Amino acid sequence: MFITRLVALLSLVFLAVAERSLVVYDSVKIDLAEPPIELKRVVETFKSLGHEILLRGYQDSDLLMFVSGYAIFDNIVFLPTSSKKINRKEQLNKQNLVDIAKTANLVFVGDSNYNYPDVIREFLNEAGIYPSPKGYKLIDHFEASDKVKLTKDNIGCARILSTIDTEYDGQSAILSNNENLVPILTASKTSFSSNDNINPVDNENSWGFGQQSHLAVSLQALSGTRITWVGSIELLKQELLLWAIGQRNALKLQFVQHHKADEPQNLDSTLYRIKDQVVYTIGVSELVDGQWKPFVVENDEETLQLSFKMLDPYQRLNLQPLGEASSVEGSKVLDTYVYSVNFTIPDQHGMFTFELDYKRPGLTYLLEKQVVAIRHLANDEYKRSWDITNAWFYVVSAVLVVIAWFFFVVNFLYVSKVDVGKKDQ
Amino acid sequence: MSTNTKLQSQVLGIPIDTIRLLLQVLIFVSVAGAAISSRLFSVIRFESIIHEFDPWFNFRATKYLVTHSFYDFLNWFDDRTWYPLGRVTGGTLYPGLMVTSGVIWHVLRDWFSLPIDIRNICVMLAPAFSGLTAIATYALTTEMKDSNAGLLSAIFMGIAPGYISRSVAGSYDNEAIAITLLMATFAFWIKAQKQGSVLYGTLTALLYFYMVSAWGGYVFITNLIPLHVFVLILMGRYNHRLYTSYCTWYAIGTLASMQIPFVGFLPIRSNDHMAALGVFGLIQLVAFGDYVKSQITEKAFKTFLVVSIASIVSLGLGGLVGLTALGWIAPWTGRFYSLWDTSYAKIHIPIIASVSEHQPTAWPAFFFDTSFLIWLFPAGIYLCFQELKDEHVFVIIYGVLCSYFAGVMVRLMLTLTPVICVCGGIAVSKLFDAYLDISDLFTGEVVEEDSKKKGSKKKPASSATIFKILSKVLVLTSFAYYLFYFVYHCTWVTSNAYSSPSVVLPSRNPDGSPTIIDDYREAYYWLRMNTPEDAKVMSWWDYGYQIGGMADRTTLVDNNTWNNTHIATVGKAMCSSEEVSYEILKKHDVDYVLIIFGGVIGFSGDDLNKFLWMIRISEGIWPDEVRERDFFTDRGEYKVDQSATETMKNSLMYKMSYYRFHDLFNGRDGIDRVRSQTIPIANAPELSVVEEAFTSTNWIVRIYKVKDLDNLGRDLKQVSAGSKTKKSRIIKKPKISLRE
Repeated sequence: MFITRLVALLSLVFLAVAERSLVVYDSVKIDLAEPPIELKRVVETFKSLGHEILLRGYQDSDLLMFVSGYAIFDNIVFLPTSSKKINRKEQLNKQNLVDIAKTANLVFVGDSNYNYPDVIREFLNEAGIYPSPKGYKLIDHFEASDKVKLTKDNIGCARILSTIDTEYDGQSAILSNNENLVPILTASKTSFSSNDNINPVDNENSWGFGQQSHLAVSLQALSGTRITWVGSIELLKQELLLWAIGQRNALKLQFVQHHKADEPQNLDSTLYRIKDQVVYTIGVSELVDGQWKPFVVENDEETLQLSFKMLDPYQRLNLQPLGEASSVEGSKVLDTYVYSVNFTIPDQHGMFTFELDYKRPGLTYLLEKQVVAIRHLANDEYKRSWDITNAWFYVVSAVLVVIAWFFFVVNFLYVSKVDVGKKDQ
Repeated sequence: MSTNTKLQSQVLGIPIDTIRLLLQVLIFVSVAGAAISSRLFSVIRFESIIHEFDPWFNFRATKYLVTHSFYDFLNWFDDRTWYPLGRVTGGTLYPGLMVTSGVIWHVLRDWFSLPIDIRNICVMLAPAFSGLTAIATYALTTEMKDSNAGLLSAIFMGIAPGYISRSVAGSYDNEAIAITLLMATFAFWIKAQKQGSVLYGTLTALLYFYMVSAWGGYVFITNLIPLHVFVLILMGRYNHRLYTSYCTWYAIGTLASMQIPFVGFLPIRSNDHMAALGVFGLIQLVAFGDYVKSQITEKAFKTFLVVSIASIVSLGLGGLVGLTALGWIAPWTGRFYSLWDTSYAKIHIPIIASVSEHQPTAWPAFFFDTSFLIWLFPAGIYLCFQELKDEHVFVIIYGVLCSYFAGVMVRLMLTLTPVICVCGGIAVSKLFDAYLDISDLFTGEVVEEDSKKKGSKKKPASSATIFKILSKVLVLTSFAYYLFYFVYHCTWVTSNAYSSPSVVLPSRNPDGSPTIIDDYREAYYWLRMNTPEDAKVMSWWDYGYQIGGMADRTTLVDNNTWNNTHIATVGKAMCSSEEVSYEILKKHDVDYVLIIFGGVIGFSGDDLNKFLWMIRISEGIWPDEVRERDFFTDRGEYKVDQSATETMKNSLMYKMSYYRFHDLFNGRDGIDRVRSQTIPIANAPELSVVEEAFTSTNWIVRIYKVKDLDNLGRDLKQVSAGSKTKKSRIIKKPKISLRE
């Protein structure tokens, strides 16, 4: 228990100081004294961000990434390995990876000449990524060379990768229907993946066909972290790596507030009335180069939308951009962009949810729910009878009946009695 | 008791009337004392606790009333029940009960500086009002016969189990004060129609208003009084007193009742109230006819009568049918139909049929609830027939109607009990009048005592006197025995059958010593202490009020079964497979699921025994997705053992009930003690969309937490399956559907 807390505390301290990143590499093939250029490039990227970086081999006995239920790194890069062996299985196993992915960004790099350690393959399969086995290569007979040329057409998500121009030699993966998967690079229509370059392709010696194969793919986890797989280390350029470790295209809700249109001082009330006019305002920032900047919606497809729902949405409204603002009171740094919508609550009482559900490929998800009670009209909030023209008729008749009754009683008691008395006499 | 002689006007120098009054007060005090003390078994045995289900809502509403203003209470929108629909609670409850205890609480606190906990007021309210009921019954019976009968029926009413069943300490339900008001309203009505008094008519109307504010059963009064008037008119007993009292009551009572938000415009729109309106119109016509009759010849009047009756009947019927068809008048409610056709509810509205107190009464229940009064009841009715004054007609109608209703629905035993007590009081007192009058025994010796009956009496021969004495002694002793037995029976029934709070269950240890099973409160307090304040708890509707009251958590459905579809949704979530249920749970933001499981200690009122109702109710809404037949074996049996159907074994309810059940049997086949069936280890369920959060000591209450969506977007079944599969060395091309 104590250790758990200590570690949690320590990791918090580290978070505050600097992000911690881990690179797991093939300690059999790679000598750290003479690191290959790709490893160097990855390490340089982390260093330039000011991360505290650690390098560990798959077989190292001090491979430590998960302590007492907490991931102790913010980013972990798994480089290809020639040996499937892992010594510390209690550290690196599938369940740990699933748990680590809740707080840490994971990057997996494939290589068509190597197999993954079983745990990593199983983990990727859980995520819906099925990389081709050892020996399978992406082949395209429409290309002149052995390698496959990648162009702009291969890019699956322009937000992540703006441009590509390379000869690809590596693995491919086919994907499950997991809707959180974002294809970054897709194979061309004429390509396929196989371990046999000579014989006819059949189901046994092939992996993926055409655009079914993907060369780089990422899973945007609900917790905001990313799990990225690339088929070859040459794809892991700085642009992609920065995205994969959440240094850009991360969204943050700086504030969410709602209030009655005529009572702006009464923020985030939990009780509204039917047909109230309500203003819902949010501030959204995007991480750009390690700094929070205003997030500006550029086209209709990216519009932020508010659902006002009780089981089903009663209102679905586009949020209107208001302008840049500062998320901290008194600060002059304009770091957020304010969106707002003003609408009338439907004529239906119940527990409604202000729901902002923003999921766009390449961006982290925004999911914000606030439940408020919408009450009915109170007994004195209806129109009074004299305000309703139709009711005048009834009001007047009631009054007339009362007056007539009064005269009748007077007549009965005093006026006609005299007659009766006279008759009797 | 019968000491009414003018000559004995002084005893020990005190006027006999003073003594009579003194005795009456003394009797009232002891009747009230007996009524209250016999209702305290539950407090002494257990503790000062609110009972059962509905009282928990009333208690919660009362707390809301005393912590907020009356205005807030009136416009209360309850966001902690029926999530996410909410409930316009202020407009859909009968506020009389809560306001009564609220007023008592304020009076005690503000005027007498007695800061009593509102809970204790709520617990003690029913016994306190039972004392008043005895007095009201006295007043009513006195109008029928005399104060002797009144006193007898008062004590009968005070301790009759049929009434105690709904008014023990802690049974904080509407009926607790409603029966008092029912009797008081009737007593005033009889007074009003006897005297033709506007004052009593108004008082009747005010009490009626109080009754309307307290209980939905006010419709009973709304129909019984007009019926009384109608029958009197048919019997040709129309007079101005009847006209005055009825019109006063109807006009003021109806206007007053419309002030209750829940009632609103029902008195002029609902069919349940049409009888009162119709009789109101009829009595105007009869009054007019009466006037016409006094002005014209008899022959002309006959023609007038025939023509007017024919036209009125056709107009009235046509109007009623027409307006109902147009939707201006609300059609009869389902509960009303089930009063006439006992199988109506079973076919059309399973939700009404699923309530145990809506079941037809078993005949021993009549004896159980009223003891020897049940056979005095016809005697009392017979005596009423013999005299047959206007007020006796009332008792006869009341008695006949309620006997039928009580036979149809168990809970209406409650309205039958008062009239049984009244009739019993009349019968016994008549008997005592005849047999306890020992004055004629002394006529031979003490001549001056024989004052009233001198004409009829002859000097008895001594042998005749012996027979007389013998017969009197025989009858009196047997009735003394019956009365004694009645008290004994009532006390026994009250202490054994009606004093359990049903929140805590009495039980016995293996060695025979008494103990209590407190699983409900254990679980509710776990919820209260360990879950976030805005957590939503799904359970079958029976436990909604208790969760709201004791655990203070938001519920999806509760005992105010106003929305059948929402209840069916919960039923569907319980009886569907995990994947289907998970969608419902997530859509309704459910955090916890609470079920009752009695299989471990043999508690028969558990959810698996109510399961068929959940299935039936949800089948009523989704006949394509839920089918009752799928839960029965091929031989049509409801089984949970190895012959249970696949649908049964896959249902969330089954899985939650038997999850980890076999751990109790060291991993061998388990035995369900409620259904006496063996649960094979092969049936041991695995859960993937919920995880066990809490199980109470005796496993009665099990709480499951609904899992979050998977972080990686996998479906939860895959998650739990993935953690168990063994690794395969061979990497195979996956079989996956085309990516969208």
